[in-house]
Amino acid sequence: MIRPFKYSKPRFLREALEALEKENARALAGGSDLLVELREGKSQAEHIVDVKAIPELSCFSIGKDGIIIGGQLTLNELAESKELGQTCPILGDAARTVATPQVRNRATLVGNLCTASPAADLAPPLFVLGAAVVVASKEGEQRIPIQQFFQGPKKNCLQPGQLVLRVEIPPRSTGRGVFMKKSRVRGHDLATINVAGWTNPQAGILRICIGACGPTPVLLTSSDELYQRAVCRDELLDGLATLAQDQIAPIDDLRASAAYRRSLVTVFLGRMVRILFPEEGGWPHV
Amino acid sequence: MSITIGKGIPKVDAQHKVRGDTIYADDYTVPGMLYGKVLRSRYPAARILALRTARAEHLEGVHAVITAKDIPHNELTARFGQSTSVGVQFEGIYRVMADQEVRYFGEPIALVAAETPELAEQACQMIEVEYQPLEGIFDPVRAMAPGVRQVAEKPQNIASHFKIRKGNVEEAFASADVVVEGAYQVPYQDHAYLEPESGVAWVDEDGTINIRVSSQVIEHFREVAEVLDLPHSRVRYLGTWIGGGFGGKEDITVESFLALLAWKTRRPVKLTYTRAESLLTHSKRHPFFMEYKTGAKKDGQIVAVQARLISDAGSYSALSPWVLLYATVNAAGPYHVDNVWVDSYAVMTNTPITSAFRGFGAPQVNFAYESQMDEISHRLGIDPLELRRRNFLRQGDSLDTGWVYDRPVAISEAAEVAWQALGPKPTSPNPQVAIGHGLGAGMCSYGRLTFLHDTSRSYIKLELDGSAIIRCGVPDLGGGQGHILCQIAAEELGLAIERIKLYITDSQLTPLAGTTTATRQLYMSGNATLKAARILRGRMLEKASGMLSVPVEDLEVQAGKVLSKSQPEKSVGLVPLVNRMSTEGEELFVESQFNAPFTSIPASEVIEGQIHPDYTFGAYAVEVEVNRETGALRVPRIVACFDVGKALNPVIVEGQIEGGGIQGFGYALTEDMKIEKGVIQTPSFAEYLIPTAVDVPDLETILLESGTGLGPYGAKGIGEPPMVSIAPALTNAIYDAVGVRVTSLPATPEKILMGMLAQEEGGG
Repeated sequence: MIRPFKYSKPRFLREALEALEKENARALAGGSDLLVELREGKSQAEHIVDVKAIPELSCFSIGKDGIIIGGQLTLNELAESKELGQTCPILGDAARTVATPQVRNRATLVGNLCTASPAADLAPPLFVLGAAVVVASKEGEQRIPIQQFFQGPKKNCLQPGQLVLRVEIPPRSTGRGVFMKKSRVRGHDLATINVAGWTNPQAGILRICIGACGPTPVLLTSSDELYQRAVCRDELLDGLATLAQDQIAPIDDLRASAAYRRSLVTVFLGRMVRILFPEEGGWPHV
Repeated sequence: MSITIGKGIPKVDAQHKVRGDTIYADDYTVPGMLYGKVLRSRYPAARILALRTARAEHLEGVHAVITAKDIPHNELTARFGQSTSVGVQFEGIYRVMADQEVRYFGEPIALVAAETPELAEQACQMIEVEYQPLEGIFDPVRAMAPGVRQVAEKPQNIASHFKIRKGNVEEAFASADVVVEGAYQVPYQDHAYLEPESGVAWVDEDGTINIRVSSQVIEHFREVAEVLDLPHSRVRYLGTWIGGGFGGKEDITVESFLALLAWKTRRPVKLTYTRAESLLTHSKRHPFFMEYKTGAKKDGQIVAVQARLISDAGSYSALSPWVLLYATVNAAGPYHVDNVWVDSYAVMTNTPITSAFRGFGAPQVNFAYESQMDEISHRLGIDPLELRRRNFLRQGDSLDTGWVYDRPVAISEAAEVAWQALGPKPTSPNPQVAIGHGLGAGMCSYGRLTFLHDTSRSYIKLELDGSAIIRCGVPDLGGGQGHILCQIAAEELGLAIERIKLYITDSQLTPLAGTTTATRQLYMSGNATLKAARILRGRMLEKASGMLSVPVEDLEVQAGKVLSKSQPEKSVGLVPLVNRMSTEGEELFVESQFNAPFTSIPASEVIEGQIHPDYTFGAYAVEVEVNRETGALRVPRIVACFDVGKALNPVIVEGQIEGGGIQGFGYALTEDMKIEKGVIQTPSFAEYLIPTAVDVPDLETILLESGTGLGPYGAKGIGEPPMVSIAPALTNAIYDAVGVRVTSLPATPEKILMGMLAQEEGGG
């Protein structure tokens, strides 16, 4: 049974921010997480603030200034955007793996981040792309790096009265990325692990983020240095595997054991590196 | 020439279902209806020290709060539609609600009826329960040890114990050239029907309780009457089209609660379980812990099978003894083995109720014996099909109970056809992906235990315009159990199927047809309907013989008429014929009863002789692709071949095989019900994963029609058998691909990968 709550659907950002200052207020976008929580009695929300009518959350642009994705953008809108697919395919790749087509018609990218699940599929791509979350409150706007946005399992850094307007991905001249996910079945399931990688070989950049292997997605530290130092792909691979095993902290849960997650991480890193650097001979540092 | 038999005629209920017009249990509303809710135990084992309901009772809009003390008979011998008493070895108690002690997490403690579902839930929250937790007994193997706390009224927690003692296994093992041993474990499985448990009840002006409920067993009206201390004739079940049963609606679900609440409030009451409530608290498939030992000669001949089976019987025995009995008589599978020794135990624990589920004990042991067959095949270097062919049961061989099976057996053909259809193993284009082929053969009974003395009745009435009515108390779970009766009547009486109106599942107005369980409805109610139709047909022919001056033997029924075989111009239409019969006072209706073979109740724990009327045999052949790095599994092909006797409607039969195959696929690979200290940790379909369309390939189904079944026109039952033998086919294919023997289901990628890693460490 869903306990009673007050519902509002403001048309102005200011109204929404005021409403969100109330005790036990929650923003509603797609509702694919919130409604489940309400039904299971896991959310104490008393004020539901529907943000689907606020113009500031509808932006979606891809340009010189980078990529901007507003709070209303659904996962299917991202998955189906040709322009996004050409510019930055890993976001659509990740979006396509979430739940079912029906859920993706409702669920939003920003909602996926706000739930702050360690297994959030959109998180690893945004971590490796260096995204920032733009948060509004009555005091104004604030840009928060995505790593700081994730605080712990199902815990983000938002305070009462704050609302995520959009996610911003900085512009980058060149580079390529990969997203991979392993679930228990091919049908809908949360990730057992998910992994995103991004490299700009000219700039010597390599970023790897691993989801569902710690309280928050784990962006590997020192991967750039490792990449710049490695004399061949195999050395990079071995180094990354060690780095990852040191930095992740998976748990046993009903989807998999920690040990299986660790095995998968090494396998997926291998696959990822082979896709990011397809030719052994193309190794830039050799 | 057949009119309807053997044809894939759309089911009479198909159009309505596809259009969404079918009225299921939860679709019913009755004016003035209240909503019921169940308060459930938060502990798997506890004493109830105090139960305070006053606050809930005083909540405005609450019309009844009922606890065990308010129930005339809170405890009965659990029955499942049988009209005979079968003795304590096969019976347990049915308790409506916990009284002083709870045995499982989710056990009902109190019932509420209120004006709205929200009020009913609020009232439940206002009921105070003081618990004193007791030591929970969760492990069935440990529960049998002396000195362990008794979960139920069964000494050493053993609900039932059976033995098979055929031949001399000791000598046979000594003579064997190869002996394989293994321990196998199979998990819980949830029925995962689309429609959760649901019903609505009301009390008539004359004090009859009507219950419209989604149930596989309308004969439960008797138990509900006993709970309320009313005459059986005062409780009436009205069935609905059922949104899936699979055994999960064989036990009483909501109906006692509905009757109690409606009786107390004198208002209609509806109660529908939430999905979480359904997943957490309804009965499950029994987990089994099995130890097997199989001995074979060099030429592959199986000389001995020894098995120890322990089933987790949960907190109330429900159908556990029967399921255990099925497993016991299936323990050696569809093979002729001269020496078989089985000890089987159903053990009570403080865990969810385990009871009927498609296959009913047969899939559990099938996984073990088919894994053993595969091991022997590898040990002896004999092809898996060939090994089985050398051992398959043949007409005149005896089953493990010693019963001589004197009917043709098409298991060898079924296995061969499936295996050949799978074809040669392709080579993998990707070195990381290993391809494997696996075979699983099995048997499964149709019809109930013969000592239950099973019967079914059906009624047919001809109308003056040549249409007809069938009344038969058959619950239709979606498997065409009702429809097929129309096809049979149409065939015998020369009617178009759309001219037949079918009435099912009214315990007072339709003849009682018995349970839709045990793959029995086509066999039992099909035969009852066939019998009734043939009596009517006889009357029609008799009358036509007089009208046409043609001997009865020369007459046949075709669509809409009766005509002479030798002089086809001599015919009479159905309408004039029926009118003449009516004018001359002939009875245009027949009610017939069909009786299954009757045997006596087993006198001891040692099970001997005939236990079931007959068996259906079949096999699966599958291809799997295993990723060597992750253990991930893809199943590109599944071929199923069953001897169905006669496919009265091939579309329905294929549907049953596809459905059963996919349900077995989930059991084998994806359905991982986690339970901790008696509490299920997977209360939604986000955690408990049944296969979806993207996980399962198209099933290739091949039907064999030996014509040797006990059902109408030689049909065998096909509802449950397809659940059997797909699991070992898959795990045997995994072994073929990567050499990992998965001995506990589900065969998850994690288990496969860990198996491969252990191999690397062990074998180097």
